[in-house]
Amino acid sequence: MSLPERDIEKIEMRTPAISINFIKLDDTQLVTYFHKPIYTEDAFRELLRRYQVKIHTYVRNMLISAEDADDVTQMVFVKIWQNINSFRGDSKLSTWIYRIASNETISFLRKKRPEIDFDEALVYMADSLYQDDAVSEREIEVKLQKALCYLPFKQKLVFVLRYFEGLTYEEIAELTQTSVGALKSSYHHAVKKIEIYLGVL
Amino acid sequence: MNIEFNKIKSPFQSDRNHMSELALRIQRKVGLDAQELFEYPELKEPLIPRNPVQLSVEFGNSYVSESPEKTFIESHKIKNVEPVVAEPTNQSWDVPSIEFKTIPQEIEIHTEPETTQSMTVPMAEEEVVLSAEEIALEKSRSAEVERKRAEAASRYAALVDESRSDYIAPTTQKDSKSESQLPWAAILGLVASVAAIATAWWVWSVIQPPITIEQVAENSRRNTSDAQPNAVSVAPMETGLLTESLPFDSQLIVEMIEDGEPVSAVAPMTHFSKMNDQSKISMVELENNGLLTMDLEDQLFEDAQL
Repeated sequence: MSLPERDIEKIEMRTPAISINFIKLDDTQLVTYFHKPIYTEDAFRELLRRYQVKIHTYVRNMLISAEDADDVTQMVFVKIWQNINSFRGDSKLSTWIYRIASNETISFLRKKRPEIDFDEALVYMADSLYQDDAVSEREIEVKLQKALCYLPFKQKLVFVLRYFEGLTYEEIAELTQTSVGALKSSYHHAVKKIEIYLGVL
Repeated sequence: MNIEFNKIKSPFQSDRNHMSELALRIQRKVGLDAQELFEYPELKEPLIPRNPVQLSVEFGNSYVSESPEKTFIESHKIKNVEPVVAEPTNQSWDVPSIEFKTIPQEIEIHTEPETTQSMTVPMAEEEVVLSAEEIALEKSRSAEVERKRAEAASRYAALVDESRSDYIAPTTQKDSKSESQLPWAAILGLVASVAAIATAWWVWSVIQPPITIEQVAENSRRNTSDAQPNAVSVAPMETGLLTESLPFDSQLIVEMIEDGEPVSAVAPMTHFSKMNDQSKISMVELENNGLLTMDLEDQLFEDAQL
């Protein structure tokens, strides 16, 4: 009596023939295992291990609230899992993940405070900055974060991606679908405003 | 404050336990078996050695043994090594008795007159008797040796003198040369310095200080004011043939000089009609550009093929 083909596929998926040390793979190599069903779970776990802290910090910089950052981070990785087979490696894996995170952050803000503008929502966040225990005690870091809350949303997005996450202008341009020149201008304006804020605050 | 140069970190610090819980939550959410992703591998060796032994002292990082215990044990062993003392033995060796004989310090060679046929050499206590042939042979040998020695001595002396001459101080060589030769270098240096001074004086006399525009204007004004209207002195001459042979313009100038009119005030009396075509074109161009004003002449543009 032979097993049906569907059961055989399930068994094959559970028991990978070769155990791969995903930690040693770079992003490009890791992407290739997204499309192999028996390795997809392990590849996703490795992706989660690599990018969870980064994405959480990025979302936290954008939303200030730790709970909100947790929720958005979870949504980001759920979305990655749902679309993991559709990623073909046309862009960098990190760019793709940051794009999903940016979109989820915007969606979260729209859902949470649909009645107010993004920029007003950011100002509202500044008040909750000092109420969080997990925030660093360094005054300058908190001041910078507060100054970020007074920036327009697009400028804040560009600044956080460039300043904190270290993305290049080309990568930010790819994930925001804008030109490099416009990004440079936004970043320059953001820096100038923050410097003024830091002088005033 | 320039935040580009002074990088400021994000104030949000991610807690490891919190991140671990979030990772488990995400895995459960997507339907995976929740696994701990942020486990750090257990360290097999302690990071801090228990008894580090510093083996060398250097500036900067000192070298610390990776296995201090082993090093310590080895040094401990070295310290506790007991000295090995040979045990006394009862063996005895028979040493044969050695007798030393005295050797004469000097050997005296007694030479006797040539007539003697034998030579006695006192060697310790016995005498060596040489025959006449042997004595002659010995003498010839000794003479040969003496001769070679003398040659060698003379060669050595020559070599020593040569080597000494090689190491004569260069100052003395220079002195001897300088005594015999003229001081050309000093003469040349003197001539060169004189030439340089002369050249400098000439340059200094030729070069004049720069003149300002005001000075140039003043000079030109002074020259025009100082110019005498009849500065040109014309020797009395026979105007008959001379004036006829001169060109027309020159004839006019001569006439003016004769009439007593100032030569400097004479305008160029150039007749347009007598110019060649190229000059005519140039004159017209100059007038068109406001650089020249021509007086009206008869037949002004008749010949000009413009």
